[in-house]
Amino acid sequence: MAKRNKDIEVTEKQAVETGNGEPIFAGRFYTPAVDIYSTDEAITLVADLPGVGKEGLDIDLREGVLTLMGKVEDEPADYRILQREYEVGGYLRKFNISDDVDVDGIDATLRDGVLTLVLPKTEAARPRKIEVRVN
Amino acid sequence: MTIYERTTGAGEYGDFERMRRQVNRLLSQGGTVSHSRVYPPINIYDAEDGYHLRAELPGIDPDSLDITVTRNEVVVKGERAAADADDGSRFHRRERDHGTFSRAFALPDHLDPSNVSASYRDGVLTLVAARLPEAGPRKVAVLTD
Repeated sequence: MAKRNKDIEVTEKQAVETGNGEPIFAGRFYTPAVDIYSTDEAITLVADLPGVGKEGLDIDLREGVLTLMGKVEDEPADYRILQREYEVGGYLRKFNISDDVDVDGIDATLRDGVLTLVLPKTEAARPRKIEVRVN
Repeated sequence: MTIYERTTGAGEYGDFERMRRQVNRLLSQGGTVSHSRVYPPINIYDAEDGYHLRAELPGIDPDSLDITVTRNEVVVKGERAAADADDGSRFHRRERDHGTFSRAFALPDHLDPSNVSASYRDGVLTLVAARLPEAGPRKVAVLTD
């Protein structure tokens, strides 16, 4: 990948909207920023979950819905806040997963607050070349 | 495309509800809330042992960070790499920030540059800078002949 040297374009943390419904979880949740890219073999989902450790992360896949939920430690109560540029809270985001993902082959790694999920495509969903035989 | 985000249905009053919640949140918390669109976002706390600066910097190589502390200023510079996708990958979403950044802060008390520690855990950088012990007030005796 070409090395780019540009100033970061900033995206602010977005709180998870529950619409008119009641919030289901205690505490604040934010929508994690994600990159999603695919090759012929797999779909890769990369999510920024700063402050989430292995114990705080919950990945759930049922009925075609992948739910990422991350919990973070609260801010120490005895610290006085001088300047706030980000809110501290958990992360929640849901994705629909189609049938062409091989759910048994999903691989998850969490490192330095970044979750990488590799969702391999089923054999049937992979593109294939058809050889033409010439007699 | 085979993967997409589910949207939660914000009803008729979705925007209004969102605004109401933001106003409530701003009113309920202390400190200065600045949505100045900067990267990385940094929270500064005043604690017993000094100033704590916390920055959300997930997936960064700590060696690439350049942190300088002087008596009254903290400067954090670095670079965040883009997702390491194979050539030929098709991007469907690209929301994660990447690029170079530089932030500088002036703090209300003098800092002791020899007493600063930095740690990086789960994508959060924490800097603890101790205050420089100030010379306390001193009584001055007036000499008379």
